[in-house]
Amino acid sequence: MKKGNYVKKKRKYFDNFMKEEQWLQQMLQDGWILQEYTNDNPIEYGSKYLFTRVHTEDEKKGTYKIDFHSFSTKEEFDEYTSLFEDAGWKALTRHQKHTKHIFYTNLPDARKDIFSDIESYIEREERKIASSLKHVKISIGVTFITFLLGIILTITNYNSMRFSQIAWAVLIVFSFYTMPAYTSYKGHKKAYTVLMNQQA
Amino acid sequence: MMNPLSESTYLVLLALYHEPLHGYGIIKSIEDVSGGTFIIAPGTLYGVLNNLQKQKLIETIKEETFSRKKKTYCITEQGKDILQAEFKRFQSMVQFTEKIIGEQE
Repeated sequence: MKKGNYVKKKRKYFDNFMKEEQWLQQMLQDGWILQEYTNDNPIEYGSKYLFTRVHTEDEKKGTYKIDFHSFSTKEEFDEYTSLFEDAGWKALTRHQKHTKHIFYTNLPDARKDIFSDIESYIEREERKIASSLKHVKISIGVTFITFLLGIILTITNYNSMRFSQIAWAVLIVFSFYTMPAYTSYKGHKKAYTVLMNQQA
Repeated sequence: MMNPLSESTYLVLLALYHEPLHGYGIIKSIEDVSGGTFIIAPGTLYGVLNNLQKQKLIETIKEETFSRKKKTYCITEQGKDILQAEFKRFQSMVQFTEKIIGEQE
């Protein structure tokens, strides 16, 4: 058989952890198990996922869960993933620079979650919201500096750069960085509000 | 006065009361001692451990006996005080509840 029958690559953007988990679950139902993925990055618009065909029907009964954390050292990352591995979760996350961590398990029903209280779900959203907001701020800063630099160059006539080119540069930064970061911020803020109402 | 501890936070402090444990050891200890009534999932435990370290209610100790580099967590004096205070709060809640429900019966 051809290799194409065994491997499937997808690129997708999510602004909600539960929807992403459900999508991975659906892929598994359809016979595709996740092997690796790239961290979502506002500039790259979502994550790239690599799936292979499931080998046994048992694998289809597995569960995916997503966590969000940033780590400053490799030790912290290793400590984190080894805790999950000990508890029976396969860590699909590979790199300490990753912030989105996908886990897979085949444990029985009672253990099919990486969180055991609602506070943990709220904190997951809080960490993601803080990260998205940071990207929004950086991108607005970059947009502003690009704009300012363009204006200065135009006024001083130092460079032949024309105003329309500045406008393009600003538009590109805005639509490929600010917008996805803002969409993510809004999506997670919504999930956060739902959780807070559930808790109250 | 501290805010009431979350159930997971209370359970983690309780698990560390008598002995230092590594991450998964805490999960096992809570599950075994409670006979499966209380289960802490790894994501929740990781968040609780981070919060408790920031509040200096627990600290990590270096252990060089095993080949795998795993952190061992240990409760601080402040952590013990907080746990005791919370336990007293639970006791007075139970006493108060018994008084009211006991009167009705």
